[in-house]
Amino acid sequence: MKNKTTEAACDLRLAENQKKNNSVKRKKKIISIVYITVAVVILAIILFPLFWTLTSVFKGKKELFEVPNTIFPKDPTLDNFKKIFTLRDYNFLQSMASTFLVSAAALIVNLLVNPLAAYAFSRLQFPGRNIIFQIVLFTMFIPGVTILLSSIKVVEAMGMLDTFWVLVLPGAASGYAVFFFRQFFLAMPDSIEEAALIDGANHWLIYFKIFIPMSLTPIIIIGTGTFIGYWNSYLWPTLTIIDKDSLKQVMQVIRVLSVRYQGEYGIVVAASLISLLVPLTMFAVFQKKIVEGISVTGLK
Amino acid sequence: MMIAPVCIMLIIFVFTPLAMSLVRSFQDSDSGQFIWFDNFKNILMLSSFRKSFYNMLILVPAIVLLQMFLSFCFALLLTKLTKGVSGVVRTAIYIPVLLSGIITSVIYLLIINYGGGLITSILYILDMDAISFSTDAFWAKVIIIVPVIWQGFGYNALVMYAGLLNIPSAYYEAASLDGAGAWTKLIKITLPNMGVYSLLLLINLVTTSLQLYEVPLMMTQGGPLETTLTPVLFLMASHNGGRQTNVVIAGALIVMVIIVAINSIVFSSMRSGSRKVQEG
Repeated sequence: MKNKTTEAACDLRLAENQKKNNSVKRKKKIISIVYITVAVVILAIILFPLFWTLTSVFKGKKELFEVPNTIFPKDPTLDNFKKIFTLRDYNFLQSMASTFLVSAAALIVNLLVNPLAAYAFSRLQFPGRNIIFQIVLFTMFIPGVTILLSSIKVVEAMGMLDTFWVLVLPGAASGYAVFFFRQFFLAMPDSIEEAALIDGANHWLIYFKIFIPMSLTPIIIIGTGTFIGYWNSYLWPTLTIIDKDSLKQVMQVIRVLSVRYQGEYGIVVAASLISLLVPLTMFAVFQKKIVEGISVTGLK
Repeated sequence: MMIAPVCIMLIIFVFTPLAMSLVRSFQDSDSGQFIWFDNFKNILMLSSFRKSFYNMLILVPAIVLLQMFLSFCFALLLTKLTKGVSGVVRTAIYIPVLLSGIITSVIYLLIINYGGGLITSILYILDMDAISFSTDAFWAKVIIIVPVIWQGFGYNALVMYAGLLNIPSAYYEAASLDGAGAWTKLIKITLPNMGVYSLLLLINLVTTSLQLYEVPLMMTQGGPLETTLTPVLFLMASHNGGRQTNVVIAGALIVMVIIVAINSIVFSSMRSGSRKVQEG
């Protein structure tokens, strides 16, 4: 039997709850807008130096450092770009090309040797496997400064100074990359190999035809990391490329430019921005995988 | 087999130089005779080398602590954002990470330029005097610390974010049921469970900041009066200046010992800290 008072009481309570829910929803919306605003403001502050640099490259010599400066150039000019490409003492384009080749070669060598070892460490059994892996892992923790000078003696003895390979080979084998790929391979189910093994495939085939095609994510993450790392290298090229100007790396050149062209700093800024095009493009293409990779696993 | 290429390359390019460094540090640079700890004594006698370590007493804690704090706070903020916004923000803050120390310095040199950079202009508009950053002992350290933190911020924030995501929401729900407020949750749940991630970041930050080179090279060249001199900066200058190689190698080994020592302290104190959490 319907009781009209309880029905009305129920309706009233429903209405009250809905009001509460709406105001809670509104509060939550306001809070989330506040969070977004704060994040965007912080982001703007962080990215502002990049923006300032971008507008500065279009400022002529006088405008670059004047008081008070303006965000946008009053008299925009492409002078800085013209100058960087017509320098008499440095071929900037050549250093970009050279660095690109070195970084690409390093990327290839890295992706050739490291995942291979990772596959062996994760899916194969052989005597001493664990000990050798620990030793490989150990190399991750050796600070660069420790082996820097002795490494120069080693490559000097090998006759590698001033060559293409001295820039590519020494850093190609990486405990970190091996670790990274091994983690990824360990997470793959055994069933993948079992079917292939039953069919009589050997491990090299399994590696190249099954594991590699499935490893797009770590390949992209390690690949871009390696490439950008080599693109940005300064100290090693400076110590090993001394006479051969055509092999000089882009950061090497920019450093020298920053010392030599202090009076025309716009040139240095132009060089820096142009050099940025390469890592930024790589990042733009692969950013989803890279950012997700770190956000999920905490590993680069 | 499959591990051969990696092993051979590591032996040639890592273990051989490592062994060489260890051996050569005990040898005389010219004759090769074993002079044991003389190289170490010689480099430690150089006041500039000692000074570089004193400088690190200020630079390293500043960089490490500020970076950990700022990136953690920002990671917390990231978790409160909606998915779409979070994705965009995460991508954008990673951009400085792509830059080398050289490029980062070029950008900041534009900003701090005494004659007419961004800061000088702002100070001018505020009717204040310009600051000559690279000739002031205090500000010189600031213009090292800020670019370094700026450049690494995106990476650290994203790793912190990964750490936060990995804390089971069940913990927070249980705490809410017990009536815990936001601050309590932060201290008793979030911080202790960041364990592995903060350890990784901490060790990475300590190792890289102790080997700071490109930014001080570009921004201050170690000045003024060696107040921003870093160990690696000094060692490289010594090497280029023709100082005996083995003496410089000895210096590099001293830097390595300090890195390992500090990382060990960090590692063991994090370990015992997390053990306390498990018992508590």
